[in-house]
Amino acid sequence: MAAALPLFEAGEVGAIEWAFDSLYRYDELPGWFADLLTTYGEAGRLVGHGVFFSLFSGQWTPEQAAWLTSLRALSQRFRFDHVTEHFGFMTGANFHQGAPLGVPCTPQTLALGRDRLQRIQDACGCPVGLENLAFAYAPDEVKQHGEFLRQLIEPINGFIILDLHNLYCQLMNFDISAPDLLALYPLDRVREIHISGGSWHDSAADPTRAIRRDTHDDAVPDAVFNLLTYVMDQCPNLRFVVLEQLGTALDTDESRQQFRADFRRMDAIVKAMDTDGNGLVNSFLPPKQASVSNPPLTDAALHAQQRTLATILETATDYQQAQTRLASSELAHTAWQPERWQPAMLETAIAIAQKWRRGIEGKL
Amino acid sequence: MTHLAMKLSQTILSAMALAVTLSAASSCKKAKTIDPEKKVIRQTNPDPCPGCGMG
Repeated sequence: MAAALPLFEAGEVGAIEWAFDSLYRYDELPGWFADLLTTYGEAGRLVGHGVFFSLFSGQWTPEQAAWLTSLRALSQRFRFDHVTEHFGFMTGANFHQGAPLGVPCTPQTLALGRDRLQRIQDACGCPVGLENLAFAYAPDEVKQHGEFLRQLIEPINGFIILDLHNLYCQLMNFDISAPDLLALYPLDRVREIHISGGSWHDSAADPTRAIRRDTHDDAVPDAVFNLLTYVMDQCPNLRFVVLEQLGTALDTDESRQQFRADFRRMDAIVKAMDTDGNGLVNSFLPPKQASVSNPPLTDAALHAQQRTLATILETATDYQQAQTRLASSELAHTAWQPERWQPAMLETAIAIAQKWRRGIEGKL
Repeated sequence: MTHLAMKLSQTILSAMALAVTLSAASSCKKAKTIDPEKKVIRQTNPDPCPGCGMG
């Protein structure tokens, strides 16, 4: 907040995004924070962003039901212009633990994801969107992602958050050009764009390369600003552009100044592209006849595969051991296709899963 | 897309500034209690996020 306060004082922050499920350890919001949410909500400039729902978990848990109950209550208290979640399933065995990793695009995962999105929309009663994932095991997965997102959101008239740093990770990690990859995304479905910074990590699996990760702990790279300039006018339904950075990375005067400089650079790009807003052709409002089926869809086989994968990733000593264990697991020769996963990306999945296996508390 | 400035009331801005001040004071107080024998003294905030899958 110390980094952003001067921007608020100058009236420069046009909208705010709230990760509404990240304050689960607190019983009550601070008064000033509730007032801030109310003020932006009443102006139609508050958007909600979920982190922990675990959209593609094969099982349905009491914690997911509670998450929806909480979202329903928050949506009655604050006016969200839209609500979003992440693609993927959380690797942790317990709620609020783990990190989201991808799932294969199959009819089963498509049905599961649609079921969950329908429930989110039923709870919040406003447009619902899904964010593209940064992580992928192989280039085919990257190329399928945009079309899979389109199919997932179709029944709810949903939208996409296009996270440009996530996209940048994929461009760097799989050597794909931005025009080639963006051509595979339904850009008319983009209602929000995220930009952020990240970090490079050496790969023991492939010492000749470094892996780009979306760690949200550094300044926004020039390449991501260039992506923003490139893609904005291809998104006719774009309504919000959001700068993300972790508070833990804003612990010096220099980092806080850089954060504000990034914000103002983003703001200048947005203003240069500005229109009167009349060009929006899709409100992404929920379909009138949408209904939620009961009970929630589950997939026991998918759940078993996810637990096996998460266990391997969280306990493997290196990528070679993970490869060996995957080859003799129920994931072998299935739609997961672990045989095609790049060693450097498997190594990255291990690092991510082991970093987050104890949840947020484990990082403190 | 349209871009509009957002002016907040002085009441909210003052409350936000107070929250920042209290947070900073709390951090300083915590920093003084850190065992000097420990090598890692970096103060962290409770808001890291695994959200996007590459963090």
